[in-house]
Amino acid sequence: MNSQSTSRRAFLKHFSFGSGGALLSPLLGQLAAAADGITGAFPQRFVFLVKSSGLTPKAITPELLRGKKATGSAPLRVSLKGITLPDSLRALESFKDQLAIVQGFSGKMCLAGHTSYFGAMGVHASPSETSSGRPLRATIDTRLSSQHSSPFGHVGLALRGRAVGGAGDPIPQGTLYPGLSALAPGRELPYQASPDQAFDQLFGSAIGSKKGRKRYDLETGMLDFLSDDIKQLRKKVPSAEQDKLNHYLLAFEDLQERRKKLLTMSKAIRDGAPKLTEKFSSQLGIDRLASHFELAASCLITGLSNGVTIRMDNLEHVYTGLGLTEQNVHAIGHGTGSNGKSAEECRDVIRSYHISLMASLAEKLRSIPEGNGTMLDNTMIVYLSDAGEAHHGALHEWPFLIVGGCGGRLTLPGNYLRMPDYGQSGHGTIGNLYTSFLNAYGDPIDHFGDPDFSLEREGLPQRGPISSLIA
Amino acid sequence: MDNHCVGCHGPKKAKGSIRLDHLDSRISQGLDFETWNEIYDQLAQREMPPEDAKHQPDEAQRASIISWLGKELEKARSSPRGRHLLGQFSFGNQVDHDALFSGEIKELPFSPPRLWRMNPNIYDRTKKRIFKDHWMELRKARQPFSLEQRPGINDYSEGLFADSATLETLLLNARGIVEHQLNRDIPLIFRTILESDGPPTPEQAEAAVRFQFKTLVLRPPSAKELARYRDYFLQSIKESGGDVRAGLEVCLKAIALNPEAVYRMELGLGLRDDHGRTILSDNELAFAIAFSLTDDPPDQTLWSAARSGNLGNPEQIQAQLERILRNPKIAKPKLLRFFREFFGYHRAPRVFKDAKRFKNYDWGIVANQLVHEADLLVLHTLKQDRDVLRQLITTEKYFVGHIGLEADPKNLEQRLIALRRLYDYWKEKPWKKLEYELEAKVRTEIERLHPYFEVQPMKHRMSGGLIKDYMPYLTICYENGLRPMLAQFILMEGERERNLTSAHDQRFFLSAYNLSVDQFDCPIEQPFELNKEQRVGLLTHPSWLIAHSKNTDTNPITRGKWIRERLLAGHVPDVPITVDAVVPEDPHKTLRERFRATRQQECWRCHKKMNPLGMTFEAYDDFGRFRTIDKASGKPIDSRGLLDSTGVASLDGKVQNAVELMKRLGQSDRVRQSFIRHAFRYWMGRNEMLSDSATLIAADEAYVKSGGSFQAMLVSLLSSDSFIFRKGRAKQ
Repeated sequence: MNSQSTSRRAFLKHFSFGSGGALLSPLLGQLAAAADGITGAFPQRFVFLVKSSGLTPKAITPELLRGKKATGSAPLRVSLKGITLPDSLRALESFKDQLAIVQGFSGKMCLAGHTSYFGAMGVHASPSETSSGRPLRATIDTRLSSQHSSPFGHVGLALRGRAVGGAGDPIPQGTLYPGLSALAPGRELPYQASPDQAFDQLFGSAIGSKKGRKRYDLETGMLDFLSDDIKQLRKKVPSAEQDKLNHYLLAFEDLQERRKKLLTMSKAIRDGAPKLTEKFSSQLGIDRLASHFELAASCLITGLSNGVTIRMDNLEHVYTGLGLTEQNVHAIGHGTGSNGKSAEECRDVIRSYHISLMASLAEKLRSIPEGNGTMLDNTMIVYLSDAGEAHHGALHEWPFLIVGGCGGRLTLPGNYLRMPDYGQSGHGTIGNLYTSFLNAYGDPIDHFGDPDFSLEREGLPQRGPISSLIA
Repeated sequence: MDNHCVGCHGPKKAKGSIRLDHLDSRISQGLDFETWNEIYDQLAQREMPPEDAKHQPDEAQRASIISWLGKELEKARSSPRGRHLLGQFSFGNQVDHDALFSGEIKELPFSPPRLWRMNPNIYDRTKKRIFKDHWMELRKARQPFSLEQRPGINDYSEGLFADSATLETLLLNARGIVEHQLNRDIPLIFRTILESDGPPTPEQAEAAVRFQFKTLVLRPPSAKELARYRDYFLQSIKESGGDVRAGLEVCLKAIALNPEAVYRMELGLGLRDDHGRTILSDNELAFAIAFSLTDDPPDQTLWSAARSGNLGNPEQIQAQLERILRNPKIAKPKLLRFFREFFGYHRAPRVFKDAKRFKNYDWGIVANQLVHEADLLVLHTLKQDRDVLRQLITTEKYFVGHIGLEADPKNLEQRLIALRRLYDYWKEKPWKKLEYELEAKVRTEIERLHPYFEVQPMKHRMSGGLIKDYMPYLTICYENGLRPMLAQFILMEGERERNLTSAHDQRFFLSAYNLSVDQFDCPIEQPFELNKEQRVGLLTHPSWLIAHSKNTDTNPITRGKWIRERLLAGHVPDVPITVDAVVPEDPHKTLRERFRATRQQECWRCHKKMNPLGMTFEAYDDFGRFRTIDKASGKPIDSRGLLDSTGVASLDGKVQNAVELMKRLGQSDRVRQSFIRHAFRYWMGRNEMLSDSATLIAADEAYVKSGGSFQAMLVSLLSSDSFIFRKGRAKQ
């Protein structure tokens, strides 16, 4: 637990705010930072939005910049000021100075095709389309957010799970494992598919149904009960083996610690939690996704978490809520139109919808002052697809949209960037991109991710951050 | 050391990148254990100081330092640090082989008392019993007990812990499990409690606790546990304001997180003997026996034996073991898993292959089929249970394209007939233009061709895509008068995973065996002789060769190391940190020639233990294909090798190729004994100690006297003193 969160907790305990609950967190952050003698140093926040079926490069490129490539070995960089955004990005118009359109990074070390599983954010290959395999390392989303500890660590929310499921799969409930994010080698991040369950888990300590509160308290008691069990057992076990039980006991104590921490934040939680409406238990996709976005916003605002990844959909999903009732994302990806629209038009509809959700999240964060600016200044919202640049991504380029000030650490906000093509000098992989992120945020890693061996063999090694991206 | 060692291994010069002036002198506490051990070996084998050194220690000096160092290292071995290091599988071979099998060690064997973290396979079975066919819920309950995926044997009791990550997953799972138990598949006792008015009676509460203990802790609760959890249940109801469901929920969850659902107890809670050892209690024995062969808790017969005190001596234990081994209805996955972990061929699909090299979309499918066929070979050999190890190393017969051991020849004939009719139906029709969905009329006609096509999964899966995949291969077969490989065709439930449906896959798959798709007439009777000049045994099976290769090249070092460590009980130190172990590229040289770099003095020290063995496998490429010419350089393959420093004079000597190497190894006592040491490690979940000597010798004798029966060896191991007795470690 770093000093910032201790002083934050201290402030939470002793301050009482009236109805200005929404101001609670960032204001405290500022106070805490001032108390610690650090100015302008806020915990940075990260949101990753992962869609299936590829993110089409052309569709996120402004008309003016279509077809324009990098010259020589430097990337093409153009300010978005005064440039008309493409149709599906219209909702981000007012965020242009904090929008980055990032194109041209490749990811050929990952599994190409319907999905790259852990590759998209972990930069390594997966065994096959039906097997995500074991994650080799913590993925970029959790790694970035773990820099600052928070009660819940990185939160995963999902409308759908693994890219390829069974056709006609019902909307999933409860915990699931899409094979996208990992907390450590071999340790996958669980996602929560049910907004109402997520609400209980995240905010249940301070808010929610009486039943939820009761369950929460009972569970706290259960952890104590089991700790006693372990201590009793420990007495019977020879000293050489007690360590094993100590590890298990410590796990319980850690969990209790975290729950106690949550208790001290109950006012902040009550004030920052979303309103629990029927949308949270709806079976309709767009309701659930909207609920997830509200949960994400609240997580960040209350400080329960510094990082959220949302699995937007998968190939089986049917966007009935958007009027696309006839085909699922897979079929649309293969070129089949739906409800009188062509496949491309359907993709536009879905993308615009995602962007509008992204914009509303950004709006919420922008409405909360923090330091000399807003919460959005210290947030990075990344939109990408686990299939790269197409439904069957070939991964020679991988588009990203980034919204947020990124704490001033990156030179990207407000710009369109396109790397030199795959195979050209100056080209970079998503490994380089993520390495740049990590370095920008103070994690001086040499290189994040597996290299692209083909590029290395051709005398185009790619290691390290790209300094021009870092402020 | 200052006089004789630091001159070359010190601040001025550091030959082989080794510095001896910096070593920690607290040897007996296990510090710098690896290096001190290495020094000991070098001195004892007279490798150091080198022959041409200016100042050699005299005999007395040498003897004295060896003796002193030996004693310090002995102490180090029992230090916590030393124990941790030695407890790791990679250190198993450090225990002196000759001493172990000399017959001179008279100490009575035992294992240290321990907690052994739950094996993930056992947890999977537990989950399956709870969720049954609710596959969505089953999938959501993740594996909390992660095991490292290193080569070799990983489930050792030493060093496996349940920590925060484990608890978080267990908690998530517990919520899911209890939710399922109380809402979907509700056991009678829970239903009774939920449907009554008011709180349960103490008897009902106890029944619920008993049920959950049996489900998740896999045994009935003790009287004390029963009372404690019953009271907890009733108390929770009160605390939640009379909410019976809430109280039941939290009690059932607690049982799922109980420490004994997480760690197996093997403390030796039975009677003490005259040698300071205690025997495992009846309960502990029941579990130990059940989990040694299956992933399931003890069955009724085993529990009865335990409860009536009929499990206390080796004969009774052997009876139970033999009963379980003989019963084909009891699944014994532990057996195949041992061979997989020992040989390591199951890792083949993990080796990434560039799709460009073989025009294949999904490499995993080919690799999985190869692994499956290696499995078949193992299972077949185990079934015969004669001369098992030698068979596995030197058999000339293999399974290729075979459907499985349970296949009935009549059944196979029918499938072949069905396939032929399918082919005849389509051969004149425009099958290349088929859409994914077949017309209803066409489906009906196909179903009428043969009863097999009416079987549910086949009916469900028959599609235009499938026909387009089958027909090219079937055409090649029938036009050349060949029997097609039956393993390739989805005819029954559950076979999908292993199928190579596309022609690319089949061509590639067969080429791994150096077979050609337009010449291979798949035998019905398998295993069959493949090519005895080119391939014998598992170590020239494509799956093993691929598993021990790199992405684009072979890996003679890994292959050689495997033989040194698994079959010769040798030890090869890890690569020194300062070495950048990369093979230089050179299009004009074979890999063997490019490996010249390892012949430098400081490299050869270790590489001589591996290269001469691994180079014999250069006759097989990284896809397991036999070759006589190296594709990259165009030069002929030199597959000569050398068995050297095995510790057995009659085993040492040159070999012309891998086949000769296999035959030599297959006859060796040392190899057999090394194999038994590894079986010991797998089944005991720890490295052997010198005190296990009697157990190992007995197991070896059981194997030899029974004509190489693996079962006989196993029964000996699992009824040995090492298995059933516990003795505490000396206090530090």
